[in-house]
Amino acid sequence: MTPDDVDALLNRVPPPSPTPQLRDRVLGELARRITLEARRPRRIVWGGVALAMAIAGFLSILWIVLPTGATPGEGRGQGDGDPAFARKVWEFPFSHAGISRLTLLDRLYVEGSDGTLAALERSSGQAAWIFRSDGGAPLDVPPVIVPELLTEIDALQLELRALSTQLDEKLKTTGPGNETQALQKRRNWVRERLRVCQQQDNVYLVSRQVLYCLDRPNGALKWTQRLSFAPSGPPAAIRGYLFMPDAAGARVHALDVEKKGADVLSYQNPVAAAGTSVLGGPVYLDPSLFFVSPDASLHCFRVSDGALVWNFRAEPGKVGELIVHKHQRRGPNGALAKADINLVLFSTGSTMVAMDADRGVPLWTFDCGAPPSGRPVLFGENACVVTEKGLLLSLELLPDQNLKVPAGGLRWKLDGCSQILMSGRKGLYVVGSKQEILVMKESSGEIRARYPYRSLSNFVTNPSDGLLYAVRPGGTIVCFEEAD
Amino acid sequence: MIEFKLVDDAPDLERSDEDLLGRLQAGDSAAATLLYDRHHRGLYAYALSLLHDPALSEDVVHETFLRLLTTRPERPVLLGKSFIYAVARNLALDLIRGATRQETHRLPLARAAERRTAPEAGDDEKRNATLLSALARLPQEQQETVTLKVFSGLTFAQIAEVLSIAVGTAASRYRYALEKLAELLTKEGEGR
Repeated sequence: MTPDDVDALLNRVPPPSPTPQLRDRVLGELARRITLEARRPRRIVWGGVALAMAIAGFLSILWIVLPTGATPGEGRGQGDGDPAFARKVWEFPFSHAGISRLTLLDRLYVEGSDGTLAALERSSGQAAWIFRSDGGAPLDVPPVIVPELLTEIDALQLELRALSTQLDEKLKTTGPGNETQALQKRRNWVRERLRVCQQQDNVYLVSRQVLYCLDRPNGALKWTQRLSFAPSGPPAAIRGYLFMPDAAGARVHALDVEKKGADVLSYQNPVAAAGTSVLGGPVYLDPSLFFVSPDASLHCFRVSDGALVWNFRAEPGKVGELIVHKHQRRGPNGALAKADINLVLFSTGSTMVAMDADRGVPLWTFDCGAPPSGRPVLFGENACVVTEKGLLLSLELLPDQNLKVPAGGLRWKLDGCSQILMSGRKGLYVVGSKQEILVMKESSGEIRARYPYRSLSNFVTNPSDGLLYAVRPGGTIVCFEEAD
Repeated sequence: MIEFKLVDDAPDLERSDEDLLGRLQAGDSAAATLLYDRHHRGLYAYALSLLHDPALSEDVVHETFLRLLTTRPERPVLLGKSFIYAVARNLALDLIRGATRQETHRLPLARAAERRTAPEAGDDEKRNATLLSALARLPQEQQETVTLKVFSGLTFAQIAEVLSIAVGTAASRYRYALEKLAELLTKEGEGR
């Protein structure tokens, strides 16, 4: 073979092609940037107008509030149909097209029925970014983030600042030496780790079987990937990987984020079986992945290689959402014991099941009388469940914590509830059946107050802080806090 | 997906890359579509020859087009096509430099996934794969030259601009690469 033959051969080899999605990704992002660039001069003008209006608004609020001496929550921060306990913190007029879902994560993610997704800051209601899927298709499952990355990014940023200060001081006082070298080495490592974490800090969306990866801080589209299966629920996200449920195939697919969602491994039920519908998606608790297949079998897979660690077959029935809980037991003197207990909580039919996540052994079961609606909500060492028949149940979660009630035992129950809202200073807030919000004592289930409301919908369950999110007619999202 | 239309009636094929780059930077979205359709395959092939990773290569193509929106050539000699490929080359080299450090932060799952074998290939694909595998055994600078010449369609003058070498050097690298490939393929043929 001569060099000329090789030349001819080379010219016949088709060049490698990128995936077709790359075109949409590149041209979409270019169009977005070009539009932003074009708007910039107008934005400055509008920015000035907005600033003037904000100042005028602030002055008018002062003018209204100060002379009357009104206390917060007694009308000034409320609409006509708002519950009396609630003081409005902010509101955001979202869309005339209607709101299809609210998801509370690091921000409040608001999905419009026209495929719009807005990320609002939880405490201020400011829109961090707004994204619209291709063709305005609504999202198939709620958005997902990697919560542990946010904690790690915060910790790394803190450490980076501390290291920089320490290094500056050392250089000023003792000058360069072994100690400063060690500090510099650590700082470089922290910087690199931070960079990697920030690269993986994404929001994942699925619309019409296309997986979208957005940069979490600013909502910029990073990549898209068409999935070869229809996801049956929201994925579980960890750093670098997404675990996407495929209930029809009784498996969970591991998608590599650094490879733009390439399917790299699947976790499969050894015996594929048809059954009832599965709500929710898989959950991850290091180092395992838990998933309920349609035959009501709970599987625990080792994430690193996809091996099945254990599985547990519950009575077939409608499978509810799965949650995991890592609990550090306390000893008799109140000190934290060394042994952790990891729990998996799920329901099939009307039965709530708690499993030891490490050993695959059922700890307790409880018959709720009807299938639970939504996922269980944990308050300390108790689990609260609302059933489809409107019964709110408080169950003892762990063994040896309560002398009177065994693990899985009923602490109290209350009829006529449809949703748990939040744990506030005055107690546990739940939505009652007669257009009222009930405040109850969490330890006994005793009702302390009833607050009627009108014209509010899409309440969000928020066990993490005392903010209540809901939607007013016309698509305005409103955030309340408890008035003093 | 958003479809763009050109603002005037000039035939697309007559537009030079310099003209399209200027229009892109002036905010003409139609120029973006033309530039992408003209160069995405060549850029992808070039990035792949440097990175050997399809996902990273797509990232380089993506980032290259974003950079073209705002970046102007530092060297006056770089025009149009040479400039586009020089941007892609810099991005790919940046990734190569960062790759070893990032590897330490990967989960074991990545390694498990990498053990998967490729699916069975057809006859034509096997022939092409033999040629490409021989190409992969060439020194890096020869691989780059061959990819830029064959898959990206650059002239020797343009290759010289991208790689910052003399035109003669680019041509001789290509010739050496063909000779080496012929030798490797002949040996492989004898071995069967």
